[in-house]
Amino acid sequence: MLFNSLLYMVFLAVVVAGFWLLLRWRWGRALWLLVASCLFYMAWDPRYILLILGAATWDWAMGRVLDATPVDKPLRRKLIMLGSVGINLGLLCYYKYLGFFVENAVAGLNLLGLELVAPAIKVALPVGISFFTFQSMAYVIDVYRREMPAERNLLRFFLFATFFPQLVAGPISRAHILLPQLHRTPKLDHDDVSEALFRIAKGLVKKVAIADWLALNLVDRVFSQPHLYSGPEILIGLYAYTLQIYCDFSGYTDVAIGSARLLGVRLPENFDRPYRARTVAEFWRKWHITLSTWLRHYVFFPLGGSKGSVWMAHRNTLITLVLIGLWHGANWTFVLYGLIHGIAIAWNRTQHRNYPRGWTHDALPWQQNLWRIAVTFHFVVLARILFRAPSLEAAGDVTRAMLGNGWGLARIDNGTWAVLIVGYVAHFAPPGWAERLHRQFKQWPAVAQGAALAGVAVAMGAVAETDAVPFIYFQF
Amino acid sequence: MSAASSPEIPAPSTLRSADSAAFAAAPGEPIGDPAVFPAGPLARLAVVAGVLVLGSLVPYLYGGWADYRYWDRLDADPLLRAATLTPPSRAEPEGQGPKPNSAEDDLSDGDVAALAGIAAGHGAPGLPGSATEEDAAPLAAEVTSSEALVITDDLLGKQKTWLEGDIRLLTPFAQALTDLALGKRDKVRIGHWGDSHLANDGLTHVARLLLHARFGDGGHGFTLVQGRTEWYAHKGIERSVTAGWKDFNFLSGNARDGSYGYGGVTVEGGAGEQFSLSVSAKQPASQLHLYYRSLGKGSLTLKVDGKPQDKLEVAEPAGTEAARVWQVADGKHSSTWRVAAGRMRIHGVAFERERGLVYDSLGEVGARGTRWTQADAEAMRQTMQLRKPDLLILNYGGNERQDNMSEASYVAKMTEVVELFKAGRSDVTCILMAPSDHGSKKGGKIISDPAVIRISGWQKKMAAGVGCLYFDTREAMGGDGAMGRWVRDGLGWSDYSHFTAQGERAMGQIIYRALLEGLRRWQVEVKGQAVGSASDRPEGFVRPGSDGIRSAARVLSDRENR
Repeated sequence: MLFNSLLYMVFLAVVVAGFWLLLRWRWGRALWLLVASCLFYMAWDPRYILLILGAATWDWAMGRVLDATPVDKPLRRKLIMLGSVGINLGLLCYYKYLGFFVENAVAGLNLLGLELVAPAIKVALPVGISFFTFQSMAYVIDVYRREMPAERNLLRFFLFATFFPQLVAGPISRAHILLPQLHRTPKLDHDDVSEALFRIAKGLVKKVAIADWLALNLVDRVFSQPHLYSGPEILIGLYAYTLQIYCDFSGYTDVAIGSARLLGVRLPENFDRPYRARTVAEFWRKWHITLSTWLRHYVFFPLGGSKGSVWMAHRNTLITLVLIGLWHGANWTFVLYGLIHGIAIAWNRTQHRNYPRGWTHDALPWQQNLWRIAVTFHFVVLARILFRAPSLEAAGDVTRAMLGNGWGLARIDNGTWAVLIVGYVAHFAPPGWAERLHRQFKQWPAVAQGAALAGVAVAMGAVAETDAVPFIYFQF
Repeated sequence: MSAASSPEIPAPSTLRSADSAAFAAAPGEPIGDPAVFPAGPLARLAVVAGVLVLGSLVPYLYGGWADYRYWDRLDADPLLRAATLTPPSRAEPEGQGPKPNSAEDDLSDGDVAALAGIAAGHGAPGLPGSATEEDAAPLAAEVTSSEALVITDDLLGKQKTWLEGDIRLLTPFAQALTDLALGKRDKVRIGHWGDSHLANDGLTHVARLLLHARFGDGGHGFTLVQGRTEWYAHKGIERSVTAGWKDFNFLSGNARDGSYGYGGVTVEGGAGEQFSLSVSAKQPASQLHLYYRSLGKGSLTLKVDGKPQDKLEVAEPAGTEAARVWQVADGKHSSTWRVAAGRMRIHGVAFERERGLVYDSLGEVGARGTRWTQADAEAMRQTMQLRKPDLLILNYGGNERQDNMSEASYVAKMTEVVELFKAGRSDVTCILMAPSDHGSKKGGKIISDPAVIRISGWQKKMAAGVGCLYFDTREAMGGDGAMGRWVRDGLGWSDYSHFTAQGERAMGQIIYRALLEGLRRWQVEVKGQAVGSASDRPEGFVRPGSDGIRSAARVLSDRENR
């Protein structure tokens, strides 16, 4: 059930209405949300709900056992934690990486002179598995670290694991953010309603009017047949893809946050105008914030973070970024994508090593920040080739075509130019502009808000190119 | 990453107090604040939603605003699937990513079959799969035997749309294929003219590869020096052209002498102008056929792989269409052509091999078949005599749908065009291939553009009168509203007119099967017996079933993906 489908809008309306009608019946409203969340997930494939609930039961039980295990039994506690994390990683490896590992292992053995044939492994990837396993793992590790108590109620833990607005593509809500909200009596005020509707509308506009437009009119074509495009056209295609993926994913996040807000739940933000970043490190603090925070918290810091020698810090950065790349998919393109980002961050750190503690780019004149933004942005844009291309060979094709296909911009139509310009202007505009619009919308009377949203809906119909298109991050 | 610190595990003595501060409601689950029904905010939400729904309904209630409907329907299938515990029927569930966009995505047999109206597993030659280079060699030898003439039911699958008309009209082409397969003839040439759907050699490339696998690889075929637009391409051929060439094309009719060559776009340049064309080792060539028009005097030098070849000194009288062939070793080649003296009008170059089938892809963006009336009849006659295609496929109409032509006017012009292409030859087969489906929005749904249906009907009616067979492309795509479904399934672009790379593969296979079905029907109805029947098989002959054809398709797929 796609967020941009009519079915989801009807589903959301029914769930919200039922939830608030059941407000005074604590378990009733929790059960209502749980059933709705399960139905939402089962709309993709009913079989995999057992996978989520099974894994959740295991993690919940491990959390309880951890809580009951005395702190003076550190080895036992660690084994319990590793047992839980191992199951989650095992699921992830089986469904997402098994084919990749086997294929590369066979290729490696063949280099040694063996003549093995890789077996064809076709395992359907359950939607959202990378998100819900990470969320569950974080919970168990937090309980192990005693950063939070274990959840006692299995039903509530199921709801934490399946809460539909963030189930299939995040934001990855760590337990200390989401579980307490599921405990508390929900509240809803006028501000919540206005905020939620604004976020949902904003998300749909980003998705339909920008991301889908660019995908269907330029990006898909450029990556499908790069030999037909000139170098500058391919570069414009990369700018378009960079905007597309931001609008697609942040649009999804907006709808998720808005939907949750209507149920009295506040999900964490996932984006902070990432293409305004002045360094690659800053980019990762602004892009898919919940994933990079997760990896920082559970991988980078335990590895030692930036403490220790420069080389250890670089090593930790590279490991973390390669894992970020690999999280997106079982493909060498993603490994390389993470690796070059890691190298860029390490290089950034080397450049900044002599700066005093506490120094930030805010101290620099705006001209210097401008070119840093430009350089970082273009690094991100070019790295997107690896993110979008289905193989290293295809990435090479796109790169060669970009460098060697001559000049001209004849194939970029006016509509695409307009969407690109509007999209990037909105992204790079001072944050105050959007905030002002947001504030004004909240102050409007309900009828005016409804009329404005209806106008947006009709406008979406005018620019929509086709039926609801899946979100890119559903595949991860 | 920001500066890090190691995770600090709170000491047991501090944990309880930290817990209570951070999780007031847990784990003892105090209910927290008393539940207050948010009547005001919910009323606001209801008002906003009501106005939103009413406003959004306008395009659905007022027909004139039908194009402003974002959602065409409430697709409750996902929820029904969840409620009835039914797994999705497709191999991959919804939302697994932007499938249509991947260059390496192979269409599964099932996808192609569904769109072409053929049940999966019925032997339609699926493209997916992999094969090694070694597989290709024995296959190439194998397919030049008479086995190539055996058309199995498996191969044709359940495609329902075939060539229409008197199958005897296929005789020149079918006999040529038969002779080629039996080793009595070296070449069979197909010329496929059309519009933007062909301009990048997408679907023709697929049809070419499939036919090569069956009848032998006769080479790339004809390619222009440069297209009228930058969209023009020929798969596996790289080109570079100096800027001084002047181009003439049949669409604008800007050549006084009406000579536009075989592909409809020709270039003219003086001394010093040059162009280069290269073919790769994967799709090699051993013959370079140059097609040109004599302007009286002029000369052209050719270097193949850097080595000078025999110089061309124009000897034909001015105004004569001419051709010249250079033989080279079979393989990868780069060729550089340079006007040494005088002026030269170059129509294009055909890269061929000694033996096999040649499929010329001759598409131009914006092309209209009716504009060929601007070509000079005598020039066309000479051109066709030089190139001698055995099959003409005229695949126009997609752009004429915008021209508001009357039936009489269209039929009259296209009749003239068919005569122009046939050039008085009796040894050529002609197919009028109707335009592919073009979608248009009506009432929020994608329907077939009525103009496409109209023009297809005109072509169907006129085909027999001009001695051509007819192929209903829209019907082969799935009939009414087909392009809407193709776009949805990643086979068509969102302009509801053009094919994605995957759509081109599907179309290429549809054409391939249609030609083979025509050949089989010709074998039965004209020759009286299908080749491959028991009496016709040599001793030890093994009838190739779908596996044989599939292996061919795998080789093709592999070659295509490299």
